[in-house]
Amino acid sequence: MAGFVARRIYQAAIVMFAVATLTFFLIHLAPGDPFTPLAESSTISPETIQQLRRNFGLDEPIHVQYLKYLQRLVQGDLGISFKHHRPVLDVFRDVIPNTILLAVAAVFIDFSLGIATGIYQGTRSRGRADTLLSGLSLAFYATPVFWLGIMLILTFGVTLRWLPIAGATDPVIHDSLSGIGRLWDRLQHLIMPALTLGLVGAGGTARFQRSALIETLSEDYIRTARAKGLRERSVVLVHALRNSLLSVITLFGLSLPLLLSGAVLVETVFSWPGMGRLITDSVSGRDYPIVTAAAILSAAMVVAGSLAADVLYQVVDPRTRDST
Amino acid sequence: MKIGLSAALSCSVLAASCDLGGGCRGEWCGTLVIAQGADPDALFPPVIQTTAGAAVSDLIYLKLADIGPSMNTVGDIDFIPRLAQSWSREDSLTWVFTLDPQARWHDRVAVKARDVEFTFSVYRDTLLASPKLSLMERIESVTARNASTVEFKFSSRYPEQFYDATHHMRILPAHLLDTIPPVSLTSHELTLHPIGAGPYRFVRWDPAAAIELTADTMFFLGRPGLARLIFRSTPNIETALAQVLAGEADAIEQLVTPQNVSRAAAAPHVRLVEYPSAGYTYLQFNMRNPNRPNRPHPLLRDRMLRRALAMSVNQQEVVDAVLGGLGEVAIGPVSRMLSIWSEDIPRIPYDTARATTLFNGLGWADSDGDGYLDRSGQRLRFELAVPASSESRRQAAVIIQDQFRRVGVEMAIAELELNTLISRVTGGQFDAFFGFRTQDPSPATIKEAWTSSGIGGANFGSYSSPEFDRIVDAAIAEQRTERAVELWHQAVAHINADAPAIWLFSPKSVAAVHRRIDNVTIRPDQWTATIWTWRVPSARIIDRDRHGSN
Repeated sequence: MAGFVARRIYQAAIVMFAVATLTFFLIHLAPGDPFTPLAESSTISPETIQQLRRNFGLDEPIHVQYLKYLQRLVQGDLGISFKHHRPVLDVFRDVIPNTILLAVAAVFIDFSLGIATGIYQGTRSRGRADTLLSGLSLAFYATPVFWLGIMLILTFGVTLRWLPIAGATDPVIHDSLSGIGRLWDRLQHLIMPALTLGLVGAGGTARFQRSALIETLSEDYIRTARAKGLRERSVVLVHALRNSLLSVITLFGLSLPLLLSGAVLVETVFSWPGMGRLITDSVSGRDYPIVTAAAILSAAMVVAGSLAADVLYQVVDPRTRDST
Repeated sequence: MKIGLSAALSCSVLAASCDLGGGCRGEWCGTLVIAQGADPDALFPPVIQTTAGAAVSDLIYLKLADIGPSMNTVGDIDFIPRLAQSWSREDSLTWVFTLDPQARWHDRVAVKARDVEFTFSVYRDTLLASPKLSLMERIESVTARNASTVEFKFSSRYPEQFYDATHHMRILPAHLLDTIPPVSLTSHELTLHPIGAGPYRFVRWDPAAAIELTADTMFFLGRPGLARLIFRSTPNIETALAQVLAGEADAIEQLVTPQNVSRAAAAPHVRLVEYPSAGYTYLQFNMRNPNRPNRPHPLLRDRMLRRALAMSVNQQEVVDAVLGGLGEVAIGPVSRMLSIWSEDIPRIPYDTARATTLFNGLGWADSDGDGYLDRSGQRLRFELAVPASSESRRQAAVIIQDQFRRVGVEMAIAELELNTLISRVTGGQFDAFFGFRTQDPSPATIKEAWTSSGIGGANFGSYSSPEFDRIVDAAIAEQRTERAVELWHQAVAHINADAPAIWLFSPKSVAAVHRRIDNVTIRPDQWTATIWTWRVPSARIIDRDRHGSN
C-alpha cells in the first residue's frame, strides 16, 4: 500500500507541474491583464498603468515571467496577489478553512443522505416509495444550485427568519460569543449553503446507489446468501451494500474537485467567504498568481480525490489490492 | 424587530455564551451593517483602485478639506475644512494650509505638516504608481513650513488648484510609515491594519467576509453618531437585499434594478435614499479603422452619418425600458453629479424621419428591399461591443439594435468578457462600444476622455476636434465659476453636435437604509463620506446597536 501511495504522489507532482504550466500560459494569453480595467478610468494615465505592469514584471517576455515563476514555485513561493497586495498563501489561508468546512458538510449530506435514500429505494424497487423518491432525487439533481440557494434564503431567511442568510459567521455578535456559542453561530450559517450543495449532490448519489444496489441484489451470491436463510437486513447491509458502494466511491472521488467549482455559485449566493469566490474574482481580474495557485490546488484535489477513491476501493474490495 | 432564530437560539440554548443585549446604552450606540457588493482591493489610499476600497478607507483617513454639497470644484469657496483648519492663497501658484491643532491620529499622535509632505511624496512616487499620480502632476511641491503649516506650490495657475491639493490625497501618518520604502507600503502590515485620523478606527478585516470599524470617540470634528460599522462582503445583490429585508443588514449603497427598488420600498423598516450618479452610459463610435488604426474608420469617420445614427436612437425609450425611471437621458459626456449638468444644453433630437433623409443624402438606401440600407452593394452595418457582465447594457444594446433596424441600420452585438472588451477597446479594435464612465467631481475629467490629448489613453474612439479642445482648455483655465460653466456648456454642445458617441443615460442611484437611522445624507462622489454624521436615536436602538461600545 505504501509503495502504491508513493507512486501516486510522484504522478501527482507531474500532473500538478503540467497544470501549473498550462494555466500559466493560458491565463497570460487571455486578452487583457490585471491593469487593463484601469484604462477605462479617465483619471489614470497610460504611464501609470505601464509602471504598475513593470512593478509586477508583466512587461517582461512571457518565457522570462514563466522561468521566474517556476523558480519561485520550487521554493514554495506562489507569488503576491495583484489585487490583494498580499502573498497568495496568506490569501488562501483566509479562505481555505471555510471552503473545507463547506465541502465536508456538503459531502456529508450528499453521501449520507444519497446512500441512505439509494439503499431504501434499492430494497423497495418499483414500489410507490421508490417512484416518489426517484422523482424527488431527479428533481434535486436537476435543480440549479443558485436557484435552490435563493429559494432557501427566501423561505428560511427572509420569510421565516429561522436561519442567517449570508456569511460564515455573524460579524455583529460572533466575537462576543463563547467557544460553544461561536461553534453554534458557524453551524447555523453553514446549514443553508451546505444543504444547497448537499441536496443537489444527494439527488445524484441516490440514483447511483439505487442502481448499483438493485444490480448487486440480483447477483448469484446474494441469492445464495438468502438461500442460506440469512436475514434480509444482513443480506443487504453486509453482503450487497459493500459491493454496491464501489460505483459510489468513484463518484466520491470525482465529487471533491466538483465541490470546488459547484461552491462558486453557492459561495456567491450565500456570501460565503471561500475559494470559489476568490477564484472567479481572480479569473475576471486576471490575478495571475491566484489563478495559477488555484489551478495547482484544484489539480491536487483531483489527484487526492482519485487517490482516496483508489484507497477506498482497496478497503471495500480486497480483490483490487493485489493488482496495485 | 423580530429576533432571528440564530440570535434567539444562540442566547437561549447557550445563555452563558452571549449577551444579546450588549452593553451600549444612550445616544451614541448604533451598529450599521452594510451589505457591500465587493471586497475592497486595499485600504491604503494611494493604491486603492476600487470604489469598495475607497468607501471604507475614506472613513479611516481624512483629506485636508472636503468638497461641499454643491460639488463645485472651482476655487475654495465651497470646500469644508477637515484636517486643515484654514487656508490661504499667497500668490497665483501657492496655497498655504494650517492644520487643525486638535487633529490626532488614532494612536493619539498629533497630525503634523510633515505628514502632508510625506503623503505627497508617497502619492508622487513613480514606482508606487498611484492611480492618482497623474491628477497631481501640476503640484510642484509640498513643503512643511513648520509643525502645523504646509505649503503647496503649483507649476501653473488654474482654478482647480485647491481641488487638486485637497481632493486626491488622504493624509498618511509619517511617524509610522516614513521608514518604509513607498513601493513596499502596499503589502506592509501597517497598511493592511491602517491607522488614520478619520472618524473611524480600523478593527479587523476578514477577507471576503467583513470589515469592522469602530468610532473614534475623540474624533476632533465631533463624535461619530454610529459606534460601529460593519462592511459585509455580499457580491450578489439579491442576497444583499434579502439581508436588508430580513433585518440582518442596514444599508445597501445601490439597489441597481427597479425590481429591487420596489421590493425594498415595500418593506416598512426600509427607507430609500435617491442620489445622483457619478457616471454616464454611452455608445462610443471609433473614428479609426479597427484593422488599420492609422486610417480613418470607413463608416464612422463621417460626421453626418454619426449624427444620423444618433437621431435614430430614442434614449428615453432605453431609459424607461432598462432603468424603469431610475435614470435620466444623458445631456452629453456629463454625469448627473457634475455641477455643470443642465437640461438646456443642445442635443441631437430623436428624429427618425430626419435620420432617414440624412442617410439617403449620404447615398444609403434600401436598394434590394431587404429592410437594410446599402450603398455600392455594402450594407450599413457595424458591431457594438458590450460587456457581458452588465445586464443593463446588454438589455439596452438589444433595444438600440431594434431601433437601428427600424431605420435600416444593422448593428451586430458582440458580448465580451469585461477584460477582453477593455483590451479590445484600448487597442482600438472596435466599431462601437457600450461604455460606462465614472467621473470625478471635476468636469476637467472630460478632457482626458474626449479631447485630442486623451488619444492613446482614455479617448478610446480617437475623437479629435481642435475647436472642442480649445473650449475645454478655456473652461479649465477660467477663474470665474459662472463663465467656466458657460464654457463647459459650449464644449458639451459642440461634442454633442459632432456625435462621436450617443450619450444614453445617467442612472439614478437608490440606496436602502434602515429607518431607525437618522440624519441620512449621501454624497454622490463618495456615498460613505457622511456616514459618520448618521445616528440612531436612543429610543430606536435594536439589539445589534448595543453590541460594541462607543
